Amino acid sequence: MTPRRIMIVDDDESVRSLLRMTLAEDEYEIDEATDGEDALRLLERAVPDLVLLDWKMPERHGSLVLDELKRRHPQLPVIVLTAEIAEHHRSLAEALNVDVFLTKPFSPLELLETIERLLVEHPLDEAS
Amino acid sequence: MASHTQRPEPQRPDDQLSSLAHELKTPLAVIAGFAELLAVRDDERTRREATAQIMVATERLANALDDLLKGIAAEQGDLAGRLAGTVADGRRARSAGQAE
Repeated sequence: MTPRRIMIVDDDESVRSLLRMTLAEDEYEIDEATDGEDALRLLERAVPDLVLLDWKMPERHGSLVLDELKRRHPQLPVIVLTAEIAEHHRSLAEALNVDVFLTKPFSPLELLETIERLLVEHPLDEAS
Repeated sequence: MASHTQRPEPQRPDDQLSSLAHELKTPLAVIAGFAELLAVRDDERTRREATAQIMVATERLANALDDLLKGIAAEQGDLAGRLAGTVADGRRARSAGQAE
């Protein structure tokens, strides 16, 4: 089975580590970006099957990255992970067509189920 | 005469709340997340990485709580409360005791 490509975009190494460990090595290829610029650079090289996106990042905020990701690849599934508690962040993400908006702390196993569900809904080569 | 010294912009309440949520909930997510992985996976790689990350995140959370408590104490003008037995101090004392 072809491994699916997941892009992790988070400035926090410990969160990237948690997400890396959540995704089984033999089932997913992982690209890691430490900020929005990095993510958009990686996107030029290879379009992932799904993106895990931090919301509060220095330089380019997650909302700007989400907007750009969805502008370039409208069908690309994006899961936003955030510590924000204000409801307007969710509303903004939904307005930008986020697929799933998760608040921290989140369950890695539930996240994995969500990823698998989204990948089934977006089969290979349809993300872009 | 006006000073040209650059001073940091005070954070708006919304920004402060956002930063606080980030500082507290991110390490909490790391601790809770790795604990959940440890409960279902028994391989050496997971154990080693989870243990290291949980320890770092715990320290980070303790420091963030200290900052929060000191901020509250300062707002209340409670110098004694601000300086007495903080979470991180307690952790450091326990760690030192275990090392002996």
